[in-house]
Parts: sequence; C-alpha cells; structure tokens
Amino acid sequence: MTARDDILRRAREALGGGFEQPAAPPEARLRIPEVAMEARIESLFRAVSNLAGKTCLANSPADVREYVAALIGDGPAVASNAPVLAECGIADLPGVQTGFTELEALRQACASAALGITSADYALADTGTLVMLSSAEEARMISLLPPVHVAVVPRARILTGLDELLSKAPRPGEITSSMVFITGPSRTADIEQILVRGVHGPGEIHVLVI
Amino acid sequence: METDLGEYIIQLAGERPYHIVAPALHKTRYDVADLFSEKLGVPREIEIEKQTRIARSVLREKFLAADIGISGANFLIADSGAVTIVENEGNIRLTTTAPKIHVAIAGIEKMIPRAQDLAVFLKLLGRSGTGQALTVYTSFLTGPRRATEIDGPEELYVVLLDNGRTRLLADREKRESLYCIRCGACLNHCPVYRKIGGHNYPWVYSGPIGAIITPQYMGVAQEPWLPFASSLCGACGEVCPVKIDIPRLLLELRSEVHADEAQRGQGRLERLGFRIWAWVMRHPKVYEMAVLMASAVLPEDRWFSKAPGLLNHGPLKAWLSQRDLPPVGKSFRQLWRERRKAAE
Repeated sequence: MTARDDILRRAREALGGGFEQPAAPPEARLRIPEVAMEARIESLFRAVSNLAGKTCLANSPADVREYVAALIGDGPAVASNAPVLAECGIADLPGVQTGFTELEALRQACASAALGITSADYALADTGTLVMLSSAEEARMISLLPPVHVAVVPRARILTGLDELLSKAPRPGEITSSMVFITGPSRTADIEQILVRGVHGPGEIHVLVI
Repeated sequence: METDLGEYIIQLAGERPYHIVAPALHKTRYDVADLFSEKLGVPREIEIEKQTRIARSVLREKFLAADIGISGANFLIADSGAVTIVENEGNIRLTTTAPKIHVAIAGIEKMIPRAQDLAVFLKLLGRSGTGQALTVYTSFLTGPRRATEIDGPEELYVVLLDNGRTRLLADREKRESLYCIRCGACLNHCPVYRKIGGHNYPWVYSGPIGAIITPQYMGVAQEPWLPFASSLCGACGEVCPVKIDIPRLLLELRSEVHADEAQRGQGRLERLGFRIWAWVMRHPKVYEMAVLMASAVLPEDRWFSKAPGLLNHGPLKAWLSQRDLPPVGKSFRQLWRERRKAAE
C-alpha cells in the first residue's frame, strides 16, 4: 500500500464508514456586481494608489510609449512578449530587451534589469490586483525580479473583482501552470512592524490602462 | 535556508518563530543590526529600510543559485490540482519560480474542492491576518512549467502530511480545529499570548490555536499544561474568521487531560480535594461550619497565605505560592442573620 492509499484510507475511516463518493459541495456564492467600465478604472486606480502604486490612463499607444520611455531612463529594461506591448512600440524603445524564449537568457536579463514591463491577463478593480497567467507571452520573472514593475492593461480586461475572475477562470490549471495575483508592491513589516516596500519583489509598481 | 525576512532573521539567530504571521516580532532593529553584522559580515546598519535591502541582496543570490525551492501551501485546490500560496514579500514567488524543482509540503486539511471556494477564504485570510483586502501575492501553481512557457520549475512535487490530522478528523467534537487558516488573529487578541509571547509555547503553533492543535497532534499527555494556558476570556473564538470555538475546545481538552491523568494514576490529591469540595458545597450545614472555622482561622485582616502553621504546608503551600485568597471574615449568612435581628 502506498502512503497515498494509506492517507486516503485513514481520511475515509475518520469520516465514517461506507464512505465512497464525496457529496458535491454546495455552489460557491460569488457576487459579481454590475460596474460600468469608467467606474472600474476609477476603482482600480484608487486601490493601486492606496497601495503606493502609480497609475496612468493612456489614451493612445503613443502615451504608453512615452510614459514607459520616461521611466526607463538609463537602466536596462525587460519586456514580456505580450502583443499589447509590441502594439505600443515598447520593444523598439532604447534599452529594452524582449522576445525571450530561452530561460537562461531571460533569467540573466531579469536579474540585472531596472524595469520589468508586462501586460496582465486581468485586473481586479476592487482590490487593485493584476492577474498574471504564465505563458509564452508572459514569463513569470519579469514581474518579479526587477525592482520596478510596469503593467500595461487593455481596459477590456478589467474585472470587478476576485469573484468575477473565479467565475471566468474556475480551473486555472486548464490554461497555465501559474496564475499569480499581484496586489501592490512587494512589502514586509517583519522588523518592528515598520512597513518597507520592495523586499524580494518589485518595490515600485505602475499600472497603465489603455 | 529561510527566505521570508522575519524567518531569515530568526534562522540567523538560531531561534523559533515568535508569531505565526510575524516570526521576528520580538526583535528590534538593533537586534537585527547586531545579528546582520555578526552573521553576514556587513557594517552595523540600524535603518530598517537598509536592513531590508541587505537581506534582499543576500537572498537574491541564494534564490538564483538554488536547485530546489521548498514551500508550504495555504490551500490545495482539488478539482484543478493547484497549490495556492499567499504572501507579501515575493520570497515564495522566487522560491517557486527560480529553482529547477519545487516541493510543496501541506497538511491534508488544506484541501478545498474548487478555486471558486477561495473567493471567501482569500478575503478572510488577508483581512484577519494583516488587515489587507488581498495579500500582495497569491500564487496558484498547477504543475511544472509547460512546453510553451519560458520559465518556472521543471518539476513540482506536492507532499501531503497527515501527522495526526486524520485522528483529529475522526473526532467529531474537535475536528473543527482543522478549519484553521493560520491568520494569527487569535494570537493577537489573546491576553495570555500577549503576556508570555510565542516562545513559551512548546511547538510550531503558538497562541490559542497552538494550545488546541498541539495536544491533539502530539497527544494530550505530551504537553498537558497547554489547554490550561488560557483565561477562557473567549476573545480567540470571537475573532476567529472561520469560527473555530476555541474556548470550548480548550475545555474539552482540559477534561481529556484530567481523564488521561486519572488513567495513569496521577493527580489523586487534587481530585480528592475537589471531591471533598463538591461534597461540602452540596451540604449547606457542613458548608456553614467550614466557613465558621475558616473565619476563625482567618479574621478580617489576614490573607490565606498568612494563615498560621497548619495551612501553610505541602501542596497548599505550592498552590499559595502563585495566588492567595482574601480574608474570610463574616459570611453572608452571618451578616444576614445579624441584620435581620437588628431590624427586628
């Protein structure tokens, strides 16, 4: 008997004899309010600002490009392969490395980059959260290793909140190996309960909606 | 090697976590300054922000060089096989992203049926743990990196731990102890925890939740005093976001401890004492006589521990070393009779 069989047997015995199939759990109660897009953007920006993130509503791809160009300054930047970034002309900005398909090259670029530029698969308006699904377009490290993270989010991807996301993507394993929520900059209060941003992840986050 | 800032600090200091959510709660910036300069050979730095930068740069190298990342899990999602982990620093994302192998170790009680069930739990955990609507990072990891993905571990192992949990699951009265989502709210509100701190709890889990799960995982004979380390004020049960009735469980465990002691022939004297007490309390005449005797030995200005000779020996003395009884003086019945008489 394997350890797995053993644990399952013990759990079944613990729950009482004759246990065969678990009863279906009750329907999850998800609350998805009706919120107009303008209000969603406002709520998203308010939540991100409350967490000390920066926000920008871009009217055109050129606006995004200009905002990101100003942020890059001298430091090297890494951009994900998300089409929206190419659309905004981010890849052509001086100092931006992109188009990574190899792990080692990506890792080295991210480890020394001052700025990581990504899109996001969804944004949650009520909590100011970016939802990142790992894929050929979005690597995990770009939003993690550099000290500054910039996310360019098409406005149609702004959901009302967690409940709407979980009703849209009830089984994340069917689409990706990794779904990560990012709610503000990395933070800690482990020493004297004093808030410090940028412990292991980015200490600065910019959310651009286009 | 530990990677959460607080855990890293206490690992360097060779200590145990002080709090479920804030492991280095007992350390000041000056302790951390001494520790970092001694263990890491860096100049003594007392600014918390700069101390955090030091930890970031030391640990960043370790992350990028590590072959295996080991994590726990806050939830395991049954229908899509996801390991869900919440955090604020990013150390868990690095642990589960940079190394080739990720091993997640989780107790079997972390299992929930569907991701949709997390809508409520994630909100409860952030709010009760640290007062956040959602923690900074929440990762749903559903397997190793896929062929099309660029980064992530090549292998993912999920290790399920029983270690007493199925035994607890079988106990209908107490299985709700397994509901705990480790937010730490009961610690923050516990007057006993706040007085004695996390290091006086004997095992991994401190505070009220530690006082109920430690004896249940390890057996009541292992740490029999734990369920008694509570004033039963009920604050823990009141703040618990998953409504574990901790005060009731503490009482259940206390009676289990006594039953266990009785079985092993311990605590005879205490039981005899309480049996006599119960008998006296059921017999009003005997009770009144006992009170009369007590008030003769302990007049109005004398506390129990100052009573002459006889009472101050053996087990009574040990009991009195930590507490005292006020002077007995006149009993309520005596006063009642006296005043009735005066009124007539």
